[in-house]
Amino acid sequence: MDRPIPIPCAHDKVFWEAASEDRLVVQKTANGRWQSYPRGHALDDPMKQDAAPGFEAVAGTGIIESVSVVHRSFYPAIPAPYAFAVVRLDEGVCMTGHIVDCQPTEVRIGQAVTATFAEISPGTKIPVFKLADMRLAK
Amino acid sequence: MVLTSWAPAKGTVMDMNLLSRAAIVGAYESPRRKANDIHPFQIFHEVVAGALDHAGLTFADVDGLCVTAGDVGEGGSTEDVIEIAEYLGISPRFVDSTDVGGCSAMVQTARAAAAIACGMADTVVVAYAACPRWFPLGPTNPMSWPVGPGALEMPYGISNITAYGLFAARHMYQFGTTPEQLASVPVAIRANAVRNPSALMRDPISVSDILASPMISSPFHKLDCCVVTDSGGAVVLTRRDRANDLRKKPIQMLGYGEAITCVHVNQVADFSVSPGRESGRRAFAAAGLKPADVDVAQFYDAFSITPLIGLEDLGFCKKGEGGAFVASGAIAASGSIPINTDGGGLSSNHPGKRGVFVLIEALRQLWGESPGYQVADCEISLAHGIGGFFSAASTMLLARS
Repeated sequence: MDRPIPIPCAHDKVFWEAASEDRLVVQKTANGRWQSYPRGHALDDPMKQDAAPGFEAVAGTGIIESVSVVHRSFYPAIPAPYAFAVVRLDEGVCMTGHIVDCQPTEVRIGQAVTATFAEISPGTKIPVFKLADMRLAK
Repeated sequence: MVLTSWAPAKGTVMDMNLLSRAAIVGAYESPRRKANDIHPFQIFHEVVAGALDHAGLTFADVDGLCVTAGDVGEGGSTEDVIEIAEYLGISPRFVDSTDVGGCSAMVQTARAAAAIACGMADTVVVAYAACPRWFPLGPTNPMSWPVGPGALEMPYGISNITAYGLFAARHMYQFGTTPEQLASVPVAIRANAVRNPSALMRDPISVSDILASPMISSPFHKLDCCVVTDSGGAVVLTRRDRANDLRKKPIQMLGYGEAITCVHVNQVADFSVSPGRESGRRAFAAAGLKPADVDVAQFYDAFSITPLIGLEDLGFCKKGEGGAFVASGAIAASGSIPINTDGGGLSSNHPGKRGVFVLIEALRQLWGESPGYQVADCEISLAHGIGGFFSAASTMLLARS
């Protein structure tokens, strides 16, 4: 496999449609709490059936929670080195993503980032992140 | 408030008196490290026979079997326990194939003891084998798929090296842990492997050797990562009331605990702790023991960070002080808590799910049979297994019965 390509399901179709239009959306439960990745149920109301939380647009801004720079890639379509990060969005939930448009080895935990989108196969975009003005956050 | 905080499940403390109706009576680790063209099931047979012989039992005694063989390097069987029973030629009345990654054989051993305690089986073999170095189907399965939960993770090209790298990088950021401190873990473990004739890597190494080896996924250099071997191991449990006439002094669990959190790194609530904190708390509570009571400890060591976080989570040192602790010499053979006395996964043997070897070496210490560094007068032996990406943990406190 050159690289894994996401395959949408009923519960995350809205997320992938938004991503294809360069928009980041996150599920918000009826109690006003954010949850990610998308699920067909609310984590704070798990007994409720057929009540998947709706998606809301978010700014896509956050802080790098952790990062590892991959120097030996297992995927031909993802050339090393690349910065593999977990980003904590301002809403509190975490997302996996690459930190792009920078030297991977210069990416640091605690840096502020903003979501952008990378087309990895025709019509399929995934969220990635770029450094926000090199503004260091604590 | 993040919804996936993995608050530990509540429950009563395990009844270790009930579990003491079962005893561990034999163990065997294959000396193989490279097995070109040998099917993993052949190694399954070798280690089951080896462990039974070690105990003084035979296949005729076995009425329980626990295995995982779902990963391709293990044979890639979807109904693994049935296919391996079929290959072995046995028809057990109790089986288990709980797959929580690397510590699967340890959680299966706890289930086997519980099964024996309530009469579901009399003699159970827990076995593991894999040949990831050569197996034609490939070395291992991906942890997840790019559909459903993995859709937001797998497209980014994650490996187990990168996943553990995220924990190590965060530990360095949060607590000031240094690459030299991380490297002191494989250095200490290699010193034990030097004594083990079966260990894959037996030449002494230094911190500078590790820092000079190629960067794979930061902060891990090649020598921060475990070896890859073709091998296997097995342990045998039987009823305690039948164990006295066997070859080995029966061993019992004084305490046991396990815990799981998550397999996707975007679900990790806190990169500075592992589920080992909960499995350890449960095991020590069940045993009524504390870390200072432990004579020797075997930690799952897929990467240099894995024992370091384990030592903190179990309370051998404070959270955040693991770097200084491992660099102090405390984990060396001459230290206050010798770890991975056989050379561990970092130097001796790691075919995919090392938990069976973590347990076997903890048992060998109690029988005085370590192939590496044997601790004198070992009374309480600890095995701490990890599965996935710090996704599961299994902690066992063991002693001669």
